[in-house]
Amino acid sequence: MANIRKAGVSEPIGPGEALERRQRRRRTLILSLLMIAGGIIGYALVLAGDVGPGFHQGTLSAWAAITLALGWLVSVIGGSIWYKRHIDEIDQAAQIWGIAAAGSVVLILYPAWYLLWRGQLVGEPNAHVIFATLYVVMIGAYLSKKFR
Amino acid sequence: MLTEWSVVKNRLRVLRAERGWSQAELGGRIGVSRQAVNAIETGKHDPSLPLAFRLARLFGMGIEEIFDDGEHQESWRV
Repeated sequence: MANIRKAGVSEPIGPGEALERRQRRRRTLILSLLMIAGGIIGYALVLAGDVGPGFHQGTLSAWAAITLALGWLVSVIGGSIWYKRHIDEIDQAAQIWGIAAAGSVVLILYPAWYLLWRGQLVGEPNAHVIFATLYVVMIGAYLSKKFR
Repeated sequence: MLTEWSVVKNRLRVLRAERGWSQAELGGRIGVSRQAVNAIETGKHDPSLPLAFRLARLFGMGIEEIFDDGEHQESWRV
């Protein structure tokens, strides 16, 4: 039995529980670091001059754009690989479900939006809105699958 | 009626209780989270074959002694 004890409980926890706790802490650490990286990239975006009127309408220098894009790619790809090593098959299934749901929503809704736009009934399809929709649906589907 | 939940039953909760293990304890021993153990116990998730083998080895049983797809194993139903 491990020496770690539950807060307020005198019963010592077993080796499996200690291991499970360690894995959970590692996942939390990875997610926290990814959130910090996202915050840094967002803050750097503002510092680099993307502060024009409207939603991200300002311009960036080529170097700032390349640096931020690389920062994003390294964080997301590296973080995903690192995170994947510490999740189980249930979490993986929930992530796949989230990605599939988001992809399906965009695949179904975008052509409808495009056709309505061609009919001059709605505005032109917007990449920001599509990306945000995809993201929201993905997170929502993931959370519903994981915590239902 | 069709349901998205599994039709495969298991006696994981009983086996775990017999050993006095928490869901987190069992999860740590087979390399999954506490939520994963809960999802398997409640039939919300069917474990992969490698995970089913890990469970079988841990409990010293055959997979069919732990999981039941309704075709056999009448004896262990509770």
